[in-house]
Amino acid sequence: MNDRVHVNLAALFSGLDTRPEFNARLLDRLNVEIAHEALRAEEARRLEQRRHRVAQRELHPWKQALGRWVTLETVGIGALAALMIGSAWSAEQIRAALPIVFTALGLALAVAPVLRDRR
Amino acid sequence: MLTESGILELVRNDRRNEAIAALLPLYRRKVFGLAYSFLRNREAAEDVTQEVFIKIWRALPSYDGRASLSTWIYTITRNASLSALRTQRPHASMSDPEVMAEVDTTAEDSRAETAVDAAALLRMVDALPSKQRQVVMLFYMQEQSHEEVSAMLAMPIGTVKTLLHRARARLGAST
Repeated sequence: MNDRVHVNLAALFSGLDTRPEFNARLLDRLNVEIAHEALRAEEARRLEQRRHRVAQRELHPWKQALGRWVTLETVGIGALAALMIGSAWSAEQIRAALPIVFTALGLALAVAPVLRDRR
Repeated sequence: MLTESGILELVRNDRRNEAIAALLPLYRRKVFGLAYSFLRNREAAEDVTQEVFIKIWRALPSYDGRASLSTWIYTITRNASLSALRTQRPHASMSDPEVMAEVDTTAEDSRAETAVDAAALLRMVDALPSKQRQVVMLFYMQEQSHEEVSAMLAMPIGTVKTLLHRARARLGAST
């Protein structure tokens, strides 16, 4: 009895397989997948570049601040102000004002990051 | 035909498409059989087989070779089949028209004295407890290898033999 079952089961299942168009259908889906992956990789690369730029900026904030403030115009204005002070004040007046100038500069440097963070 | 190490070599050299082309003839029928043994529906099993190969293609770069390639593929197949099973209609049966047509052709080809009503036998297999049904299907699909069925279902060989014996006895009593 079992032998007959054995033979019949073999006849029933041994030929079972996917339909003939299976491989072509899979290939089509894989091609779509490959195209999607290329797009995803490009998007990830762009995102990574953007992140890198932001990280660089956060790593060197003083560079960014310096880059924003030190322009041709500000250097010109500074030079002009120095020239005016030099011609209007005597050397003694300048020497007397120096501690005040340096104190003000130090205060500005200390307060600037606090003000930036509050913004 | 490429061996497992040959396929891994292709993956390491970023030749994933060639690797999947080599895997397809080796595993297509096995993956389909395993999915079919869970789902009992040809169309659903083919869909799962497609999903499995797409998943393999995506995951190949992260395959680390800790488990053998076949174990890895069968695990993906079992998980995909179980997911599909959860969304499938509740009363799926192997007796769908396309399978019946194929079964009829196979039965006609076999010798007259052994040919029985294939549709009736298929219905009997369908009515077996799920583990027995899976073991019977896979055993007769996969060149009657206990080892292969054991690997596909992640089941000890002894259990496969016991389930097969019980299923045959039950089918023998019914015919």
